[in-house]
Amino acid sequence: MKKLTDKERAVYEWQLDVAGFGGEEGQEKLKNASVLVSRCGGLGSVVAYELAAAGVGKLILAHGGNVKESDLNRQLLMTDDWLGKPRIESVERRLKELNPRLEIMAVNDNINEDNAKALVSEADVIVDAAPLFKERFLMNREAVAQNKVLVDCAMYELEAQITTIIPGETPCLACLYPKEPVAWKRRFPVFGAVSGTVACMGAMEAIKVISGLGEPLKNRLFSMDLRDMTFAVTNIKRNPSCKICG
Amino acid sequence: MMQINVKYFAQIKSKAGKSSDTLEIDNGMTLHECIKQLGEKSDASINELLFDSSGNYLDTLVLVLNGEQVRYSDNPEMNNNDELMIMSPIAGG
Ligand SMILES: [Zn+2]
Repeated sequence: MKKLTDKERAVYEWQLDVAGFGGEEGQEKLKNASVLVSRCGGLGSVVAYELAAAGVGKLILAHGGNVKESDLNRQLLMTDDWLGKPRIESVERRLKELNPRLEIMAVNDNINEDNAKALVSEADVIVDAAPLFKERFLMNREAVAQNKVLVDCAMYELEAQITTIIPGETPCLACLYPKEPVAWKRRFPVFGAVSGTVACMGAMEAIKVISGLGEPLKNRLFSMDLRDMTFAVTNIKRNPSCKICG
Repeated sequence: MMQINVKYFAQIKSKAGKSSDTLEIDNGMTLHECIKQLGEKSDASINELLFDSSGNYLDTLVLVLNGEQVRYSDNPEMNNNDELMIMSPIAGG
């Protein structure tokens, strides 16, 4: 277990006093932890930024393609001066500006059948922020197989939802959606402030799981509609005939 | 007759063009009958998110009855003033 440096004690001073976090011991847990975030778009950018800020030691980040203009309303690790250049480089550069101590494993690709198993094996916790259900189901399958916690975040328009999947204890993504959704489209309406809201919750869930702080969102699906500020917590349950975790 | 209060979440809300609806159903009806009637009532606008072209339930939605997830296959009997939330699957991006 790597110990905190004086610099880190200074940087994380404000959060070391959070009740239940465990002070320096909690911070050392973050320092020695690794989190996989895929992708680093509207959701994943903010998840990664908050985890970098909180002092998670290593981030495994997967995001393919080059920065496009239409990324810039929500993908907060992409910048205008990086248009046409690889997104993952922009992600790495921006995170290092904030936290040069951060170790980054940058993958210039999205999660796919060839890399899912290896990338999940690098991480203690996975935050699923991918736009395609194919990628989400792959991460879910590997998280369950490797007994890793997966924080599942999603958004649409002014709505968002989140749950924390703990294999063997909670439903997995395939319990929630036994069949691959038919109507999901790659491009959908959303504001960056919506993806950012649920992304901060996702980062907090990862911090809680790693440090033992608080109570993770187990067996509960939190949903919100920022249009009228309605929030709901739904009790969810495992599917005994789930093909992945049943 | 019983009244069911229906709430929509995400795409199904966009398709329905409203965030909530009320449905009048016969006493003793089950979840299956309730959802079928909801699809028929909506002039097929949300029907395509509920059933495939052969009329089979798609099973890609999270169904929430009075704050608790219910599975379509469990097919519980509905009660007057039940609140049924139908949540479309959503992702990141
Ligand atoms: Zn499952």
